[in-house]
Amino acid sequence: MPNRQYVTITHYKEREFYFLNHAIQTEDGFIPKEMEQFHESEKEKFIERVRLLQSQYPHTQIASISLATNQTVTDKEDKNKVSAKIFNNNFVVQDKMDIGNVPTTLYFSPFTILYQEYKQKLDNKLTLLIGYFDRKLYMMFATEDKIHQSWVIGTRGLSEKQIAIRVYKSMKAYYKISYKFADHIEMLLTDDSPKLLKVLREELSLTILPTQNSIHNLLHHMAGEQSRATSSYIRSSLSAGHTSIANDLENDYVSQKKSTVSVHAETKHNLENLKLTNSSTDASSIRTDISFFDKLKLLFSNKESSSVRSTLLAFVPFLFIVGMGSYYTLESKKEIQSMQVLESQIYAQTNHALLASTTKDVFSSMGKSAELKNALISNSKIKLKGIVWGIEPLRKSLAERYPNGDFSINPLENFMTEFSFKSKV
Amino acid sequence: MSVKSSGLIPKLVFIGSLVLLFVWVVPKVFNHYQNIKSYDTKKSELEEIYLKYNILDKAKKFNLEVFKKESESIFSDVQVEPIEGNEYRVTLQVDKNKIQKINSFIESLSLHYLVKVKDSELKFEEKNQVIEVQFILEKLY
Repeated sequence: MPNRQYVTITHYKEREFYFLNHAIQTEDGFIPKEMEQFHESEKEKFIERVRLLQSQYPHTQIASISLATNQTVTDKEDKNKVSAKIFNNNFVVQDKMDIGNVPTTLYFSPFTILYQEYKQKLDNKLTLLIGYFDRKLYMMFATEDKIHQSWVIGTRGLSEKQIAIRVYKSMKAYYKISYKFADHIEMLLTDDSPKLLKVLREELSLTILPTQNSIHNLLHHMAGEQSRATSSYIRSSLSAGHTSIANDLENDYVSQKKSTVSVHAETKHNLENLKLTNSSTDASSIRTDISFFDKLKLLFSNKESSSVRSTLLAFVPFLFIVGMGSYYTLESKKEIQSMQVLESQIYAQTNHALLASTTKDVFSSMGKSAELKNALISNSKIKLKGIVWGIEPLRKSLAERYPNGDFSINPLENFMTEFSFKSKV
Repeated sequence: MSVKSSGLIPKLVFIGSLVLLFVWVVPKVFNHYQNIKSYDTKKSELEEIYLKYNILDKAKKFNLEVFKKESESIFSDVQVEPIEGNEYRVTLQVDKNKIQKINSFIESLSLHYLVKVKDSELKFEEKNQVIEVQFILEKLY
């Protein structure tokens, strides 16, 4: 009776490809079939294939996963966002669901899958749970009673060592807000990446217990049992008219419910009686919210922003010092220019006073004993030429002021006498 | 691990700031106050010179037209021609009996204009009972 089998159809999109799988659920576990891959340009074909599987197996659940990076684990409810309850008062919330109009009835978060995988191992010691999905690290710091913090870190394009450093930074960031380091780390890999594990072990010096499983298997596991699925699928808390995705999910649920009513009761752990309505799970479908204070705390508790902040803070005195230095350098230049003007003016004035004094002395020495024809008077030398009327008084007068001067006379044809005088001042 | 070096940049910036402070900023601040002191001293010195010559107005920048116009009120003939750059050839004529006008003009010249007589050199020539004085003026700034 293949058509009465309970089948989980799983799909997710990674980069430009849709990956599709289905598995027959049995009491002993699920039996996965061959995985199928579709390029995003073949979306219609992919949806047709999902519909075909639905028609082949009337009792199905279609499970998918949210690989968005904007999801976080919190302990508050937000009616305007979509959420999945992990346990007690911990919820995964994200702004919206985007399943791209692909048929989906159960939509899980990597955080819920991670918690389901490791919840049995949690105790009162702090455990860092890391899920490596689609080159992203979904990290949760958890104890048996609470999930304390969560981060999603993209690692695409990073080397294994750089990924390990990101994990280490997250641990340090968490230490800054809680003063606790994780006692041990559990890691769930959806890619087979032994090199990453090796590097993580080397860099973090901790015993990391890896589990490798494909996203399809994890989804088959999540959708394979009612208790797991009902408690942890992402539900929209938005009104039905508000989002078409919510409508899609609801419609899918209705059709699913109709098809599961007649399933026989012997498979008591499968999803034949799965109740996915909001009314049946009102108590558990608590919407979560991140308060403004939490957002601030997250912002300032983040290691990278803290590092940036301290770097920026270090630049404050640096910029202040550079500004002060620049100001005083410019001021100094202006002051030196002003001083140079004053100095040159004083120097010029001193020279001019000396020149005027020399000129006065020269004309005073000549007095009425001579008549000037031409002269060159400076602060370093004098050269005079003219007609002398009284040779001896002129010589004597000039010699008194300029004892080392060279005085000479030259009789002219018109019975007059020309004199010339040269001296250093 | 390279993560441990995340605090290195702020430390380096902080050390760089300290080095700049003591090697650059502190000497500049010190120079600033020394310059102010020197400037005040020079200014007082110049003010005393102004006081000595009983000149109230401060020296102005050289302007050919203004200089010529003001000089013409003192001398019988004034010629000013630009030579090159900041230099001007000035030719003044004064009655040979009023040669002291030249002295007082030269003596207070740089208190009226920001100029100096190049090489502090005057050329005199007697022309029909008139003394012609020639010199080159150089603008200070």
